[in-house]
Amino acid sequence: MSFEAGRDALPHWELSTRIGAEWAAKRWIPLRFEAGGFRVSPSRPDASLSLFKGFDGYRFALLTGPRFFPDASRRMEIAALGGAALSAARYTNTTLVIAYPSLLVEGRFLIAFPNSPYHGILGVPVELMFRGPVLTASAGVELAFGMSFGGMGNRR
Amino acid sequence: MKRSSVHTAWFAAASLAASLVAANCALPEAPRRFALVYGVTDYPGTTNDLTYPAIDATEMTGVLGSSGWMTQAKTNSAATKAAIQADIGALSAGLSPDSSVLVYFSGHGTSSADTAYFIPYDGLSGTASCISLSEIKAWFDTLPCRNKILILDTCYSGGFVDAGSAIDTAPQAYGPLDGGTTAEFPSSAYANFSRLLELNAAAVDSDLFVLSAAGSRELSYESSGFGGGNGVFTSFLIGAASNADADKDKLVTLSEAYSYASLGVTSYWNAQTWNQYNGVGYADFLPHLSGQRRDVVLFDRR
Repeated sequence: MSFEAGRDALPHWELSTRIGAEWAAKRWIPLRFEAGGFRVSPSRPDASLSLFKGFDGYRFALLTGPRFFPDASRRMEIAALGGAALSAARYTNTTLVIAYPSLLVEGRFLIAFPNSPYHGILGVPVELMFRGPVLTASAGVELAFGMSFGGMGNRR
Repeated sequence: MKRSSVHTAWFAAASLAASLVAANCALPEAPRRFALVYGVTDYPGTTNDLTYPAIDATEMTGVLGSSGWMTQAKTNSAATKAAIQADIGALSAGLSPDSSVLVYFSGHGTSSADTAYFIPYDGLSGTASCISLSEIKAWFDTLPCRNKILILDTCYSGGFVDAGSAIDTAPQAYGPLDGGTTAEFPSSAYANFSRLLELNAAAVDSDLFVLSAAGSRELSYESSGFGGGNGVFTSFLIGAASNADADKDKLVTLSEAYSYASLGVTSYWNAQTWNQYNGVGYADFLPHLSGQRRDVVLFDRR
């Protein structure tokens, strides 16, 4: 959804893929790094047949936040992450390139697979993209697969 | 005692984000949209005459008229500077903020002291009789509508294009001697990243959307081999009305039309080997699009 003062808010859709790494301490995640690509569609048009351009590009993000364990086995984890990102993009199918900062918030549920270093993540990422006078907000669903390593045991 | 579970985790994620706010799924009713279309084939005398601009104007009028625009066309001696200014001003009374006004011009363009001009019928006597960006922008500024669109099929028309908060990686002079290619993304973005962040923070978008046939240091061309005999750029712009709807929503935006025309010029004009040197200079050229965050619907095919 993109907003601009004095105009209608207009919806887009976004698809993104990411890869990254995080350092998880006992009760919080001091640092998570993500790099990924994304594509934001053109918005729907408003009453004047004006719309927001679609754009696609790459995003680099740093996040941090607390983690909680709802059960004694510590196989499940809930985390609340916040952070910031910088994105480089181009308006889709044009030669016009842009860059902008974002704020990120993500709530996620993680479950470790038994007797393995792997875990699955279901998350709800929210991003606020500061594109000059235009604020673009996205909220969605994240599905992720992870592997713990580092000689410190399974993710628990 | 539990040991501290300090570790790292690699993860891969895929997410699909969409608006959580219910969107009105019905497309809005078409608002009032006015197109002023000009083409000058026959300039005073014979040495500056072109072949196809009047045909460009006639065909653009047809395709815009069938796409929701109320059109008015003037060609040759009717397309004077005073007439263009008066035509734009005369629209003011019938406009609302949701209205759109489009000016299309096909004919000669020129450049002097890094300022681009397009040349109306009576514009051959010097730059004062031509039309610059600042002049036509001042005429557009009198209109109480949000969507103002300028499309130029002239030489040097890229001088009318403001990239805004973006950087246009297509060069203003495109051709074998000028590098022959546009800068690749994303390297072009990373090379200019701090500048792009400055532009993002500072730039307020112009309300004048501009689509140009060529860069600010390029000629544009007409040919009997494009369309039924058209400006090369205009032939693809006309084709965009039927073929450029990339997202199949029956609305062709200015960006979609630009993408279609740019690909057409690149694939069918710039790719011609005979085109690489025409006795005057390299004949390659590229369309340019202004860099607003917003876009506008050019052809409504609903």
